Amino acid sequence: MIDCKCVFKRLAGREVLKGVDLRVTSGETLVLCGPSGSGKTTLLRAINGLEPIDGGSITIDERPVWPSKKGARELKGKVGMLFQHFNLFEHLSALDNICLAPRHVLGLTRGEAERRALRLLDDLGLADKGSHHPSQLSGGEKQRVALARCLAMEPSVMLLDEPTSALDPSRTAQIAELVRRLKKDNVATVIVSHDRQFGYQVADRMVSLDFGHLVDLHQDASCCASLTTPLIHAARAMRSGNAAAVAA
Amino acid sequence: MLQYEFDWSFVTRPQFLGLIVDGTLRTIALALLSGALSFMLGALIAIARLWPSAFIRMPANVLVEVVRNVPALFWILFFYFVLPELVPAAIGRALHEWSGYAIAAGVMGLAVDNGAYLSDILRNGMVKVSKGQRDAASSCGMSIWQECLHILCPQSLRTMMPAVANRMIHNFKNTSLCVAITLPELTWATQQIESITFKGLEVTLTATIIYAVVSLSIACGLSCCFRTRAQIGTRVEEGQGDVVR
Repeated sequence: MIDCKCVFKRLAGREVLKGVDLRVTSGETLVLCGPSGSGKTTLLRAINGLEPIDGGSITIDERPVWPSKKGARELKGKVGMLFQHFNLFEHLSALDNICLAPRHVLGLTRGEAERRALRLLDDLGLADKGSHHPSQLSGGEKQRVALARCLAMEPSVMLLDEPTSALDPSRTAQIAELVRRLKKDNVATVIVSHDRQFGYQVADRMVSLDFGHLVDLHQDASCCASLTTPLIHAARAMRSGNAAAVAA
Repeated sequence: MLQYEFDWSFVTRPQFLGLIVDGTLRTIALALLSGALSFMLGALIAIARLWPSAFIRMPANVLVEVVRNVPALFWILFFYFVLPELVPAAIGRALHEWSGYAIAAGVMGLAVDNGAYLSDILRNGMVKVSKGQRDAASSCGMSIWQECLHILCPQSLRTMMPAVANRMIHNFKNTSLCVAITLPELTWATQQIESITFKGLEVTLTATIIYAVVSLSIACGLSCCFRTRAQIGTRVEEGQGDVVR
């Protein structure tokens, strides 16, 4: 379970998160959207302990991530994060990328880790790519290897930053299915995505990060009409061609 | 016209030839031992200089600055003459009586000097590894040591190998400084032969050729090693063309 209380974060003199409260329970899937640069990735990184926060607290399964001295390392891989740029270990093959942390953090033997990795690669349609290095993989393949690397740690929380950005529609459906499986396994999942359709497919709840605050969006499009945040207001005004409202 | 008549007869005399061969072997051994020790020392200092805590980072930075601003010869003299006086008397006496202490002092002096420079090279190599790679390692729950061992070191080693090789050649040449503590390496051997035969030019030329041949052999060996690695890298890049996107 993720519990963020009144999280403040300042980046380059600008307040990116202004008292964000967020609670994601086990088995819940939350989709986080919002414009580029609104701090979605920063919030994910803070939840994963990679980005220190300036105020508030973050706990994962009752264990404090911030304030804490160790940050991400404290979590021992219990939080899986799919990075926007995948961040695969460049010097290792796809199989070794997946096996490395289970062997050295969870203490699995090489055989056990490889069996787990091969199963995941097979599930994600990459059975024949195990020996390939990241430089030999396409964007979509890298993304799925990165996802397999997270899943190999059997995390209780998954943070997915743009998980479908490099995928075609059929692979996107595959990821949606995988997210549903995570839900069944009681994993709390936060997904940052600009792909609204994908969001509607998998989300239990959708929120938007707007000017440093979280705004609950309902899956029903008609509910969105009642929202009056500056961003949504501006977007609506642009659609209706009301230039004066945009300027305001 | 050069009036000097060269006399290379000393090379054929077994006692001098023995001195040269022994000196050369001792020089190579000194370079290998100090090279290996300096690499370990350099890696440890580099990791200390990247440590999040300033209590570890600052002393390591100060140590490197001090070592780099003092000549290598000083460190050799320090370990040979000064260190035995700084330790408890019994240990100091034992060091003085130990026949291998000159080699040990030479190795330590060279390793400290080379280690400080290597730490800079290794640290820069590690810093060049992208932050994303380090984030991924932290995110997987790896400790700082595991991150260094499995991610930082293997990735940075390839980029910093040429600079490391240069330092190792430099370290080999620095072994001649050990003549100051009468360590019977190649320079010491040539001085001995010169003092007996008075053939300074021939003896010095002989030593110069041996130093140059060994240095060039090290350079060629390492260069071949890098070429092989580079070819493997190219094959990986070429392989991208086969991937169906």
